[in-house]
Amino acid sequence: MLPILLVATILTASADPGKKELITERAFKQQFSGAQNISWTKTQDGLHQVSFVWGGLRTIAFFTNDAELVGSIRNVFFSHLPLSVIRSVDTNFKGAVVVEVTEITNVEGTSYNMLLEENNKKYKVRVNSFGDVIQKERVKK
Amino acid sequence: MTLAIALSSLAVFAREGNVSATVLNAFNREFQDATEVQWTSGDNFFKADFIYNSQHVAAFYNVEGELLAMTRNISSLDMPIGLQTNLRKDYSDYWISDLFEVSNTEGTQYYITMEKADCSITLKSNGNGKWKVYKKATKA
Repeated sequence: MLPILLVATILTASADPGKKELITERAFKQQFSGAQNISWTKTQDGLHQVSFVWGGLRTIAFFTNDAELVGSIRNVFFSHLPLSVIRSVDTNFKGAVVVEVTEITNVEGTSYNMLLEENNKKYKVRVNSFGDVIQKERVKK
Repeated sequence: MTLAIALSSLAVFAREGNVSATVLNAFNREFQDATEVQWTSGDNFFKADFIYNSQHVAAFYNVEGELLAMTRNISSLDMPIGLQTNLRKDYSDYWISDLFEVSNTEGTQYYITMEKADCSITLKSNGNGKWKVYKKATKA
């Protein structure tokens, strides 16, 4: 029979992850009340990843074990982007069709990944919240 | 200054004919696809209200034709997600009565007015997830 102290230690260690998950789930429910189609996983670096639909938009959020929201990825509509970003795309990619927009938020701030189609060519573009184009690469079909 | 312009009541209605060519040219260059354009003016600035990318937008120009700022009303869901969640954490007992976005050389700022039974509060953020109190008022 295992010593009582060892049993207590094992039980504490196994109960702790569950408690952390409860705290994280509680934080998620408070910040994203009304979320639907919720699905939880864990990333390789130990973050709690939750994908869900919120406000009609497919979203992925990342929480630490301390229930801190550290990042998110969200599919958004082009017309709902900050005006500075819309104007930048209109100016730098005149005539291009915006196929897809993803908002990425992390400790560095918010930026927007876009898939554009221009003259039968597809481009992956990244724009920061100031409207600066920080990355552009051609997507080969 | 930009917010003062956005919030000010514009006493004089300016027809396009009264808007300087410099300002008109600057606007037409910048917003070729704008529709339903209406001009008003204030002290040393002109304001164009128009439809841009299917949305109601306002643009403010100084007399030199320099674009000072653009504003538009938005839905709370249009804000960066960090701003939305911080509002829910800290102001869950308030309702939103006004929310608009300002875009200028300093980037993008969000101004939101939240109310509850006895007070209203206007918060400002530059989109980095943090809100600062801009104005507070007690209701009579």
